[in-house]
Amino acid sequence: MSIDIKKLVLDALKPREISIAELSKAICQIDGVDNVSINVVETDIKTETIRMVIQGNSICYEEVAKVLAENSTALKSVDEIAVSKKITPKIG
Amino acid sequence: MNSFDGALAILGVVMGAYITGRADAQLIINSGVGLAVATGISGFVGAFLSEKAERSRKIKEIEESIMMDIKDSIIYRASKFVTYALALVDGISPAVTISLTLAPFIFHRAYPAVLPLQYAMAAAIVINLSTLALLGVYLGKIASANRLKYSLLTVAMGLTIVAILFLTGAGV
Repeated sequence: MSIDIKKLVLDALKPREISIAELSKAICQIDGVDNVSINVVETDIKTETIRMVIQGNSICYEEVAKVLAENSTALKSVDEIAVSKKITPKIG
Repeated sequence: MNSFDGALAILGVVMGAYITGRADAQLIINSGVGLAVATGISGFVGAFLSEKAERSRKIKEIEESIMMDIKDSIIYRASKFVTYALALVDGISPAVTISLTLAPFIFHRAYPAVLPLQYAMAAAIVINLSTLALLGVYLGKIASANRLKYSLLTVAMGLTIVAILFLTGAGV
């Protein structure tokens, strides 16, 4: 049996120097991530508050947090999560 | 800009040697090498310290704005790399322009019959002013301004040095 994260909705704060195109591509490169969409919710002089929707077969939360840190993006909250359980039938 | 400094400084050395009337190619070469080392180190250290200060301030501003340490981030690594790269370019660039001006003297040392000292001196000044003109064109290009105007301005700087040294040299 395995439990996989299928969807994550994150609220984050990033400097304006980091583009959402580069950030979304960096997240999409993570194994298990299939789709990434980013919305800019609020724009400040130096920062942007973004809402990210990450979908995939088996999203590794730690890996997503690592990529966000590498891209100078502070994770404010996890607003939504969807997980699913897969039961592997026993043979014999 | 350090290549501009190097070009003007070596022009000063060459003209200074010329107006003494007892110019020696080896002396000019040695002075030029000394100048290249000094301006190179000065350029490297100056650019490194100013870039480091400027970029550290920028990193601190980002850290404060997102309330997070970004020492492991791409921005931090890129900032560190650019600081070293710019310092290295600033350190090497005067040596390049100085070497170009010294080239006729090096050639004269190797083949004095082919290129007499007076011709080497003239060639060095022409090369130096041409280097200044090219630097002017480049400055004009990055400033998206009139390249000819910038080029004339940088050459005028070189000619000003020549004129001042001639005038003051005549009085010595």
